[in-house]
Amino acid sequence: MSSTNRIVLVVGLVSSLTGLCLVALPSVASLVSLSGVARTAPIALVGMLSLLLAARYVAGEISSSKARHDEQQTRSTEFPTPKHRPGYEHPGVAFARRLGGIEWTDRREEDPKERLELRAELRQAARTVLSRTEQWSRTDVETRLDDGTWTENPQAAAFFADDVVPSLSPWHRVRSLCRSEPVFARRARHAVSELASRFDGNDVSPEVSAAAQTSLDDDLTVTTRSFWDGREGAEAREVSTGRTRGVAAAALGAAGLGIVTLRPALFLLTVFGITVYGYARAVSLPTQTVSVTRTVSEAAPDPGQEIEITVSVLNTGDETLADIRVVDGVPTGLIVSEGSPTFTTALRPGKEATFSYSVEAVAGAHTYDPALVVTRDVAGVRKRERLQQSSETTITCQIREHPVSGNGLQQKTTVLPGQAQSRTKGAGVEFHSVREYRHGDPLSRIDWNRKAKTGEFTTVDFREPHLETTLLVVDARAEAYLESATDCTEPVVRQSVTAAYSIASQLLADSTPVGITALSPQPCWLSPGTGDVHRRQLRELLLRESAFSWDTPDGEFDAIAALREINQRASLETQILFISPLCDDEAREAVRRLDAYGYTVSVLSPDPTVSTASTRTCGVGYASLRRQLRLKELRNAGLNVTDWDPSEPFSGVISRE
Amino acid sequence: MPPLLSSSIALVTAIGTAIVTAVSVYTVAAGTLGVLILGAGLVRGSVNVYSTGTVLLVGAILFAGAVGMAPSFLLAASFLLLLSWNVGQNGFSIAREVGGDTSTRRIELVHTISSSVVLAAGCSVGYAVFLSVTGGESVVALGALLVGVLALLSTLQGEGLFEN
Repeated sequence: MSSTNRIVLVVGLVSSLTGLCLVALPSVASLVSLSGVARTAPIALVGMLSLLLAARYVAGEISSSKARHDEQQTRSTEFPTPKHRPGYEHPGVAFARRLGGIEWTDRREEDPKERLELRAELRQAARTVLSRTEQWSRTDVETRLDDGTWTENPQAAAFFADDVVPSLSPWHRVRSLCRSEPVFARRARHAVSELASRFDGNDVSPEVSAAAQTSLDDDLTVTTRSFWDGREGAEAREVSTGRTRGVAAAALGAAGLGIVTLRPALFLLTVFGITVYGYARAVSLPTQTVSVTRTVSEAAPDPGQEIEITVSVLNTGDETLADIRVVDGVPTGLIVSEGSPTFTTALRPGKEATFSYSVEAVAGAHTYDPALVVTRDVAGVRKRERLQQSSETTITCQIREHPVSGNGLQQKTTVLPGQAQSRTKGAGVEFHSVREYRHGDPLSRIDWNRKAKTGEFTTVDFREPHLETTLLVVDARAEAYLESATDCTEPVVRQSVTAAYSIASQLLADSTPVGITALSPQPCWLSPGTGDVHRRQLRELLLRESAFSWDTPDGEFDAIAALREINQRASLETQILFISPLCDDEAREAVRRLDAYGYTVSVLSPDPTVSTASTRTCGVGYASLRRQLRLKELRNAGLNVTDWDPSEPFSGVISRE
Repeated sequence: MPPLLSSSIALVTAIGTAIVTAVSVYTVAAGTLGVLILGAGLVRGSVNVYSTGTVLLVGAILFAGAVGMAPSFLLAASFLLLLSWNVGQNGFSIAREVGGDTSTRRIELVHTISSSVVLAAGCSVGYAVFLSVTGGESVVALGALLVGVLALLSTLQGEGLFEN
């Protein structure tokens, strides 16, 4: 106990005893008849002191609520909302974030970095786009960009022609006062919309979409587990709801005012307030003894099937629980389609309450988090939060396989014979074609029958048998967890996983060895192999491995180290199929690096920027433009790149190649 | 936004407080303004706005006390306001933790009834102490008791007023 507390304690004891004495023995009070200053001074002092204390208390409350607010900024203290999936990043967010980085205050800097970088990046894109769409020469493009004659749009033209910190006319200055967006950012939007419209021929509006804006601000806690991770303490924690703090301040205020104005009625309020405050301090929560049991109507549903979850809450203690709130730990991937996974009730000892809701099954192994149970005392001044462990519930839903005819891989021959047949012709057993004799062809492959009949020398080609060991690398970095513009609740990684599974089973059906790995902070590796056991392993891995989960991975990730590890584990004859939305430069770098290691690399890229809306917003337009440029760059480097619009059937994409 | 039942109870009791304290122009003004702001806080689902309304009503009660309202009325007004505050805050916590599409009537009713009981008990204890002490006409005794209880409460329970 601190010395201040000790003094306060002594004062409290003495004061209470005096008060009790005076109440019990009124004769003592009449003995001590104070007058003048001696009578008023202590009363006035106590009055002032209570008022001061009340003021201090209120000030403390304000500052602590500010601290709470700041804390909310740094980590999410929101209650879990398991009805929905977490908001995945909208493809347009990257551009919205870039624009957000440009502020009015940049004007004062000598070298506004954000602005210069954005302009350099857009100029690079503009060069490529204009030289491709307008058939202008390189110098033509440069001069047109510099003097702003490349477009009709004055805002877009000014973006490249004007200064990065535009000098504003007085009228613009006045207008800028009522706008929060810097002129430079507005021009950037127009330039992007102009470039993106030219590039794919569809209209791109210069607005940033609302979805991108909300995705930028969104920070929802979704699962009970992630809610609990933010707080210390293992199993349960008991907190005061802080509801009576204001009561104490009001009581002190009343006491001070009562003493100063000499109104005993105000003391009554203080006594009342202190009684309530005392109750709040003294009350204890019933030791929580609630058990939660969960039953699932179907543990292994098909994708899209509705499953009913029934949860029963039983009060196993011997005290009534006046206020029980249950938030069920619905896993991230599942969406509640009917009913609500939250429940409230009051339970007498031994009583049980049940609630149920439906979820829609999606591919993956979904393990329920423990339910979050919050109980309160009767007046609601104290509460206890607890993660209620129950028997583990897992819903396993198999990945739906796309029928695939080809596999989108670059054709490659090796020296080893195997089952899969390459399209390359050469020495072998199975007949492929006949061609004209070239000098140096082996004598055994000359078609002597034809020579005898017609006198021409021809050479027979055979199919060249070889072994294609394939490694599927799924890009599952946090950057690849983008919501696609068509389906806002499913991250594009899920498309990659489905595609990987379809391709792998197709290859395994041809007895081609397939391995799989993820470019993700969660390590995951399955060496190439064949056979039924391997097939099962592969499916289980795609279902259960945390690298392919519905949660966006967090934490630092060193892509280069991960690629180096892939290089160490895979043999050089392996073909690599990299599956990635290619929406950031790191993904492109990864492909280039794998290529540089000497592998035959093919890329399959599900496109998250495809939108069903007729006009796209500039955020999505920018993402799409950058992505297309990346694909083009990879194609130019000689890689086989397949662009896949996930709304199209997968088989069509592969056979198109 | 807090559930309808809690909101209505909080609003009705707050209006009750404003009516009981309507003894002077100032208290009527503070009370009306307080109820309006409090109502706006409930409708908009903002705890801060709601608390501002409550603070205004506290001011109305204190002012009514300072201009000499009868102790029993004062007690009734604070009972109503505390009930309003408690029920309203509970409504906000339900909105935050459970959300709108779950039936919460049961816990709301249980909470309202049980907190009325607790507050009524607090009222009676307070009134009994007040009567017994002021019956002896010793304000000094009451003051000493108050200071003592407050000091003891805050030190013995830890994390008290003085450590804020």
